[in-house]
Amino acid sequence: MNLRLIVRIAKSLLLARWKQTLVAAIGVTFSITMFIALLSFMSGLNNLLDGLMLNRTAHIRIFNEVKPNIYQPVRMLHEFRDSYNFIRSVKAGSSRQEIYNSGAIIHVLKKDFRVRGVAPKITAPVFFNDGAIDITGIIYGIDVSAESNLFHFGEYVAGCNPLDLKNVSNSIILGEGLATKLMAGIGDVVQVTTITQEQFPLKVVRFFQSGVQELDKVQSFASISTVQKILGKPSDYITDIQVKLYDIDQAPALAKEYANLFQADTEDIQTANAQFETGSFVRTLISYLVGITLLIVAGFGIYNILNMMIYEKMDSIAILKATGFSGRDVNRIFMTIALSIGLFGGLMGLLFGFLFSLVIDQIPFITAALPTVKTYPVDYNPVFYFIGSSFSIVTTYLAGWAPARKASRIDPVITIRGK
Amino acid sequence: MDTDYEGDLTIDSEIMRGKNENQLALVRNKKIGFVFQFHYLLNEFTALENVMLPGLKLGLFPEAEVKQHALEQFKKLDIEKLADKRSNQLSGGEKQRVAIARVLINNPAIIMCDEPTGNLDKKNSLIVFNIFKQLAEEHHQTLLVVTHDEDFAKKTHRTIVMEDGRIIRP
Repeated sequence: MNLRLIVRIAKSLLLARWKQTLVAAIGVTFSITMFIALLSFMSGLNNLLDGLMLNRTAHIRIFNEVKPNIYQPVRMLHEFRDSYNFIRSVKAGSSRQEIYNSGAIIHVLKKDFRVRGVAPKITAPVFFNDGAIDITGIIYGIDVSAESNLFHFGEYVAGCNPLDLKNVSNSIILGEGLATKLMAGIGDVVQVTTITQEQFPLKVVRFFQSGVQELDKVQSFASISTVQKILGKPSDYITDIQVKLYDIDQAPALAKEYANLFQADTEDIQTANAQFETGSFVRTLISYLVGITLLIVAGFGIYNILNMMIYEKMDSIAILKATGFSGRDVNRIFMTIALSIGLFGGLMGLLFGFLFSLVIDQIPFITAALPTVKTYPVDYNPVFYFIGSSFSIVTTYLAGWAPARKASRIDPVITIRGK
Repeated sequence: MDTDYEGDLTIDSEIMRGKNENQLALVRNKKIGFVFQFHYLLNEFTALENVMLPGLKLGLFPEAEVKQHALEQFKKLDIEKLADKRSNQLSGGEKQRVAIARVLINNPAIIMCDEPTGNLDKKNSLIVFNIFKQLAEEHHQTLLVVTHDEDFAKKTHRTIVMEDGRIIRP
């Protein structure tokens, strides 16, 4: 009963000054709109940029690092067992780059229920011969279909048919930058020299565009068997096994498990790409800060309007108190006013924010670096809408708090005596 | 309303000292009616709603019944036709009569008036005085009126003359 009465009085006061009310509500609407649009856009961009790297990066990479043996012979000697042994300048022995028993490892990984897919890879550093000059580069030997399925390889190949690599023997996909350097077109043959000074001709079938120029200047791709042929290695020669998981968060734990199980080196994506998380985090933080700043400004607008209303309605408040309304009732009346401005403005803000995101989603965004992206990316995450609406309520509550308290403390004796 | 006084104050044999703000608000709502020199009606509401507000605040009766009571007060003061008008459409005398109706809605133990006719012309003063007289004689309502109007004072049942805060003739 009492609450309904309070709401009714609040409503009448609001409607009596509906222009100011509208201005205050528009302030909230504007800030929530910008908040939603900004975060959706920023998050969409973050996902795109992260995807640029994360899509093509294995969650776990299994490889064999060339490094000195940590078990040096001196540790096997009895007389030195209980002492500290310092050995300096230890060099790696004749360890191999390839993964031991790679076939069996791949077989086990494919059976693991946590693993979405496995793609073997060979890394071969080579020289591309361009007349008298040698250009250093890397040829990755890849399983084309696995690479396309797991790491979106096809999306970065201009012309979009990476399977040519499999179908044409001794073929290569050159990075765009590298192709420009070599002045090689499709169908041309490029000469490749391995580090063991063996020459090999390869036919260019496609160009590769990763979006990262530096990579495109050195990277190129060939099928696994072609690379094995170039290097003169047997068909079980694999230097890397890339694993993609269902749950990326399990990567660090699984990486350790596999390192033990397969006696190989492993690296998880979180460790390898820590800087990307930091970048995304900072960008998100900035968007939140801007959004909150806008809301605070809107909050001051509400604060001002309520303050004005209280000065204007001093007499009304005094008589309400004289006829039996307590300070708490008056406080509630003004809190109701503040919160309804926040609620209404916030809801309109969510709506306009969504519409604004839709508009951003239509703006063309064509860049050579990202062949598959046509418009600006937008992330329609409901979490932003939830945060936006709670923020609008909290800000208006805080903005209404001080004026409402002031109104509740108005002394009717002083106000009425002054007339 | 004012808590700055000496001695003890009792209303309906209830001691006012030591009551908190909420309790005092309830006492004002239930036991006391105030009529001021200025009408203090809320412009956002109609005359009827202005009268109903203290009744709704008390919350003893459902809204329909409070409305009924309010209309009875309007009838008693002979201002039924003003009920649906907004308070800023009323004249000074009409406003003061609506303010009196507002006072009556919760059947207060005492009505306190501060210069109730101070802002009114002779004719309206007379109307207000007659209302007060009618309330006192027919409905046995206690009224405490502060006024500078000696004509008004002469016609009351008991007059206490004060000067500079002292009672000079009880």
